Amino acid sequence: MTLGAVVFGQAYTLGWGLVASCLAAVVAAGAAGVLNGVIIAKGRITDFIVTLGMLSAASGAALILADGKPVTIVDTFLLKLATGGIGIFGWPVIIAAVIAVAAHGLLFWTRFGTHVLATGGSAEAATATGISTARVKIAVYTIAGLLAGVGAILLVARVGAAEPASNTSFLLNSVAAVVLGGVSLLGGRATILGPVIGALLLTALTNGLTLLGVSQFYQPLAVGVVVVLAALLTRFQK
Amino acid sequence: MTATAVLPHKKTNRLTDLGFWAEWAAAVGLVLLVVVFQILNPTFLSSGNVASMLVAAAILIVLAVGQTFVGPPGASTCPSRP
Repeated sequence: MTLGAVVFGQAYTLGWGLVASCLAAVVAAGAAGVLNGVIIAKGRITDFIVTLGMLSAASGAALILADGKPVTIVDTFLLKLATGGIGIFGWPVIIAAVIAVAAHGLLFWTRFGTHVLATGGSAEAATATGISTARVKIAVYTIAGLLAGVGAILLVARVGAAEPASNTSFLLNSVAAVVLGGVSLLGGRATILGPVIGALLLTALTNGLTLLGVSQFYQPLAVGVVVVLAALLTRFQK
Repeated sequence: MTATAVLPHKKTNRLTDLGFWAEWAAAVGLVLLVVVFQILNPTFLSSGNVASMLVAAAILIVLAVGQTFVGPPGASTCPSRP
């Protein structure tokens, strides 16, 4: 996501225009996702190592591209995107809702979604039934990358700048939201509503602690405790 | 997987069934947090704060939806795990 944000910033300052810059951000993040997927699927390497390596490589690439400096982006459309909306629902909320509904449809109402769940449940069984698990893996990492690019655009709109070194909390928190949402640690089980509720819970937690005047240094501690407790609870899922 | 299937789930009472709570942990946790924070600070559920919380959550929601397809690290896509 940091890479996407920086690519956005660089493209924008090069005068690419807003649409092209947004596309560049999504494509860059998507490409990182494709690379992740190909290495994991074809190289048969544990995903954790590959994504950890990609995290470091992409963060480094972002720092190199931006020369370590944040780029301020002043754009009336982005400002409206970040501040406007319908009623109490800001545009980012509406975008997130549309993406969540689309993801739900993709995961549960399409053949591809069934293949994803089958691959997650048992890659060997999925292969035996004729599913190309390598293709499924590449596809899911591409989806994750593309959505990271969308997240980057929303972040740039919110912050008003593309920063090469930030947002480390998003990494743990997105994993945390998924775990909180009850997506099985053993694979094969997932909902979209669960992680959405998990994300809302984490946001409510940090927001509430801030309102109560608790130092923000306590927030990662609270998130960590909540996530491990949630992971323990998933042991009892049927 | 099989380890969880072995766990006894004979009780039919939902409230004492850990599986039920595990299933709805996030939703129950969210409601609990909202109630506690609202009691401690009545501005928590003001429309302004709810709106800003939703916007703050939007980026995380987009990322978490992407992460859902991949699964938590070391989980579903790990090829060595049956």
